[in-house]
Amino acid sequence: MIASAHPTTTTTRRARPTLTEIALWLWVGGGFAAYLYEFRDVLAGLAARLGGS
Amino acid sequence: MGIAGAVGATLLLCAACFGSGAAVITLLGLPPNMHRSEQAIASFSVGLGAIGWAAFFVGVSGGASPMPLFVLCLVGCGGLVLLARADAVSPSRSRATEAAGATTWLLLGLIAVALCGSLMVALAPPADADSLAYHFALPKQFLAAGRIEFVPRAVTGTAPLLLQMTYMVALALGGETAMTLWTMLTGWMAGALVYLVARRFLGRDWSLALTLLFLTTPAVVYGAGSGQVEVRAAIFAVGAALATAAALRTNRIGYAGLAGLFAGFFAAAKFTGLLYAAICGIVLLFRKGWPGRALAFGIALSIAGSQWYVWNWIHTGDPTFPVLFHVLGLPDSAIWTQAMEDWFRAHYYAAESPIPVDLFHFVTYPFRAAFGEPAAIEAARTGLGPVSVMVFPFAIGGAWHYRRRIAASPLAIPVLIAFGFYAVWFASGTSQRLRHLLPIYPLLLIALIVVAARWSERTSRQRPLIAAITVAVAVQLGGQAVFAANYARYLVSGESRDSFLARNIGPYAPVRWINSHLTAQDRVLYTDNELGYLIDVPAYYAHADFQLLVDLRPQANDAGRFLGQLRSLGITHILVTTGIDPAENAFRQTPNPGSLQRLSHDLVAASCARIVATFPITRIASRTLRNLGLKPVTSEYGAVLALTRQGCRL
Repeated sequence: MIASAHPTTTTTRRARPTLTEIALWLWVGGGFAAYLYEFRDVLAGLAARLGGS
Repeated sequence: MGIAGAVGATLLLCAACFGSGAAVITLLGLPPNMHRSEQAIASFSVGLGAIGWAAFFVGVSGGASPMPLFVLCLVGCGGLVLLARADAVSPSRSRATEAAGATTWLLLGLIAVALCGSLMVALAPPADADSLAYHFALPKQFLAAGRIEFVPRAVTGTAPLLLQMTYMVALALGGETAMTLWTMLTGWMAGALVYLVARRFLGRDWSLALTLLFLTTPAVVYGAGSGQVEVRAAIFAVGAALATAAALRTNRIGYAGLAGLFAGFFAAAKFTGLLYAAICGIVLLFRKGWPGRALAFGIALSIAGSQWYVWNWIHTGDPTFPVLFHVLGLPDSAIWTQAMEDWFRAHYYAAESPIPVDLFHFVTYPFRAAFGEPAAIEAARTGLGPVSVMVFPFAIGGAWHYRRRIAASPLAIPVLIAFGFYAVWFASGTSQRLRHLLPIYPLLLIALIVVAARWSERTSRQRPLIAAITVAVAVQLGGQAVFAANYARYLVSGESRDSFLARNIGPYAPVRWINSHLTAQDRVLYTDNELGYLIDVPAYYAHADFQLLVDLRPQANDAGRFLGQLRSLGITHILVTTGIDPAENAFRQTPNPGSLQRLSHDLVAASCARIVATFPITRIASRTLRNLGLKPVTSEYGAVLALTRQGCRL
């Protein structure tokens, strides 16, 4: 294919995330953080175990 | 028996399930309009129930021994011919053209990791308390007796035991490892069923992700690797719901019969299966043509699910002993009285049902359970994991978006049945432990992911959904790794079975002594439930809340009556696992001694028993977390007492 002599100069811009999408990401991040907090004792024990071995 | 024998026995039992299931489906006249893999899993699901059902009658007839159970398996295998000959529909277009990409291989690899984790658990000796107490202990007891015996003990003795019958077959044919491999394999089959059902609604990668989520669910990891029945009951629950939906859609009597069989198998595996059967039965009445469907469902349900209830009724007068004791107005007997009933209700039910039964708590239960609250429902480390929470907004978005199409979805009836079961289960006031909902979890999980995935087909929404599922998988796989580490240590270090059990079972030290010093002419009384499977000589488990033949309620204080009860049961020794001073070889003074400790002390004081051996006893709050140094292990001393007649002053 022959390239156009005048290639278009438009740049692809990512669409702005909607409020729904932002909320979904916040939910996922918050949920993950909540589970880390819920099992903080297990994670701390695991870290200590791995660090000590 | 070696590992080869165990694997062979497990495969034979597996083949018997495939064969007998194929035979039953053929008898029902169902042209299953399924892909061959779906036919196979449907056959296994029916066969799992059929073998458990048939083993009951073999066992009751005195055939609880290897040869009759081997013949039963051979008969079951005969149906494999039907499975091989079965017509199968072609895979759907989407299946035929879907190529395996990097995601597919990644998911398959993670599933393989999860399966390896469960294999490690299966290759180690059993260590779960409930499994040792009765799931595995009763099959062992029946095999030792050569027949199925009535066990006069509420909750763990009179529960329906359809799945434990299949454990009995595995134990008889291939020993302990065959039994644990069998529980592993049936857990895997539940995963295969989830995949194949999901595959009807989702692409390959989504279905694999869903299967991975299911297999690594904490309750599945814990339950499938032990004798707990809920994961295996899920096979029946999914089968009953799908067959009910098919019966309504096609109005074929055969599907109604299949729904009845599955519901019956669930009821014969767990009391709550009765509630599930009732929901399926009601749903079958929804559309015209219901009399035929209801009749077929009812007949199949009665055949598949009634044996354990008739068994209980013959021995106690209460098919669901002791649930209906009060309702049926049964008279006091040696095994249960009105006073015992009052104590049982006040003590056991109060502990098992900590959440008030009202609308607010009905709605909030799943959310509280998702974060492990309250502790009594055991939803934290052996719960349903983070999936439901992480995917919740996606599912809500999808449910709203597709609200006009949901009622027509093939998943609508199964999900309705699952919700109906949850509502009736919660309202019934029975044990609120979360794992009792595990049988309906696959249906809810599939619906959740299907709705979420469809709504998230737009890339901008798919990314957070994939992130949510990735987080859930990471959390669950991490949990499984922590759980399996204890078993991996056994396999890697070359630790002996005895050492493994000593490390994992707190009161194991006396078991060694009992098994090496007592004989078949002795009978030992014990109160630590996890010893049931481990003690090789005749024994009696005296739970304070579940049985009355040895009264150990707090108010029991008559040592003479206690001694009479022991003698009537032929008890020769008592295992006491607390309150012993090893230096003095005597009971030590403790502020609030338990009934067994107090009554045993009185027997020694009256020269009716003497301490013959003392042992260190450890109390392990969590086998898994102990390895991380998170749960303390406390130590004390216990003793074995021998009853004596000479000089006894009672």
